[in-house]
Amino acid sequence: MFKAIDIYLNEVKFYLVSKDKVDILKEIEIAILDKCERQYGEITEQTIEKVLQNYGDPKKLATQYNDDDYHIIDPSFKNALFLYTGITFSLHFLLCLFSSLISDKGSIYIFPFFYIPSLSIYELLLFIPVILLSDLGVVAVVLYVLTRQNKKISLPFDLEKLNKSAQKSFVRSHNLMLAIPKTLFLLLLFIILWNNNSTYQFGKSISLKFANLPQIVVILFFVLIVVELATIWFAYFHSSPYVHVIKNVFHSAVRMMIYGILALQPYEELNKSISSTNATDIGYLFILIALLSAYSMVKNIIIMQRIKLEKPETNSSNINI
Amino acid sequence: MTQYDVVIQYRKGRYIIEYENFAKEMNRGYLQLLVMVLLQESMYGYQIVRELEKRNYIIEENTLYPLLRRLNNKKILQSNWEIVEGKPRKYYQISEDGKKVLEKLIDIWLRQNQLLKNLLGGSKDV
Repeated sequence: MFKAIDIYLNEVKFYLVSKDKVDILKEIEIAILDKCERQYGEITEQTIEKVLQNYGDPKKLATQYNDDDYHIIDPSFKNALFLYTGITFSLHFLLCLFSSLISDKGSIYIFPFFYIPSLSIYELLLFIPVILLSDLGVVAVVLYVLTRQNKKISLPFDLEKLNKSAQKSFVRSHNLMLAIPKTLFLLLLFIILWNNNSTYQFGKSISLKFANLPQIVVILFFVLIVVELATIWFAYFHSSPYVHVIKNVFHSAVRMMIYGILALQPYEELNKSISSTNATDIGYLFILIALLSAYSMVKNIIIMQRIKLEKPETNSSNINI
Repeated sequence: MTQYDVVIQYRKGRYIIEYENFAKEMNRGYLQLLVMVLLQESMYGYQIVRELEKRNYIIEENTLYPLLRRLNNKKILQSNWEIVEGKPRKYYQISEDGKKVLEKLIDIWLRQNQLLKNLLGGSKDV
C-alpha cells in the first residue's frame, strides 16, 4: 500500500463508527486509486497525494459513513444521564459526608468494589469533582450497555412509576393505621432518649453518649423528632397532593438527619456487649436507613418537578380507615 | 459572504444562514431518489457518478459512497464485489424491497412537487 493512502485511511478509520469498517476502507481505497488512474494516468505516491488533497477531510468523510442510528448512548437517554447522575451523586456525596463525620471508624466498604474514603471536610470539598465525574461515568456506562442491548427498557423514575409512587404515598399518609404507630414510635424514642439519654437494645441499656456531639446537634436531634411528628399529622390533615410531596421531601430530609446523627454514636460498646453474636455495627445500619431516606428525598424532589400531581381517585374519607 | 449566502433579519439581531447547508440537506433526499432510480441495473460507484454527470448532475464520489452504504445497510440496495479487468469493484443494484420503497417515494415526490408548483403559482387548488 502507498504511504499517503495508508495514513489517510488510518485517519478515516479512527473516526469511523461502523460494523463494516474493513469493507468501507477497502471501498475508499479502490475509489482513490481509480480516481488517481483516471486523472493522472498512473498511480504513484505523488499522484495519490494530489488526489487526496481534494478527496476531503478524513474526519468529515468518516462522519458521512457513520450509521445514522448508531449512538453510544441513545438520544432518548440524554435526560436520564443527567437525572441519574444527579441521584447517584447525591447519594454518593452523602455517603462520603457520613464517612467523613465518622472518621474514627475509618472508610466505608460496602462491596469489594465500593469504597468510600474517610476524608476531612476540606478534603471532601476537593473530592466533589471526582465524585461527580465518577458517577457520570458509571451512569454513562450503564446507559451505554442499555443502548447496545437495543431493547425497550423502562427506567426507574419514569413518569408512570413516579405517579404511582406519589399516589401510593399520598394514600399511605392518610392512613390512620400507619400514622398512629409512627407517632407512638417517635414519642417513645423521644421519651426514652430524653429521660435516660440511653436506649434499650438486645436486653441491655446502651448509653448514647451525646456528650461527644456538640450541644446544638443534640438539641437539633430532639427538634427533628418533634418536626417529624408534626409532618406526619400535617400531611394527614392536608389533602393537597403538592403539600403532601413537599412534606415527603421534608420528612425524608428530617429522617435522614435523625438517622445520620444516630449513626454518629459510638456503637463499639454495643458491639462489645453483644459480642457473643458478633454483631453488625449498628452505626452502619443507621447509615443505610439515612441513605434510604436520602433516596426517598431525591425521588420526591423529582416527583415535585416532573409530575402534574393529582389526588388519587379514591375518596379520601374511605382511605382514612 | 458567498453569493449563495442568505441573510435573515431577526428582530434586533442579525443571523447569516449559509445557503449551502440548506441545499445539502435538500439534496440528500433528492440524491437518494436519483440513485434508486438509476440503480435499476447494477453499477459501481464511479459509473453512477458518470451517469449523473451526463445528465448535468455533479456529485463528489466521497458524497456518493457513504450514501450507497447507507442505502445498502437499509436493504434498499443490494451489493456484491466483482473483479473487473483485474480490479475489485463493488456493484450496487436496487433490491426488491427497495423497488417498493421507490414507488412510494416517487409518489410522495410527485405530489410534493405539484403542491409546490401550486403554491408558487398562487393557486389555492391543491
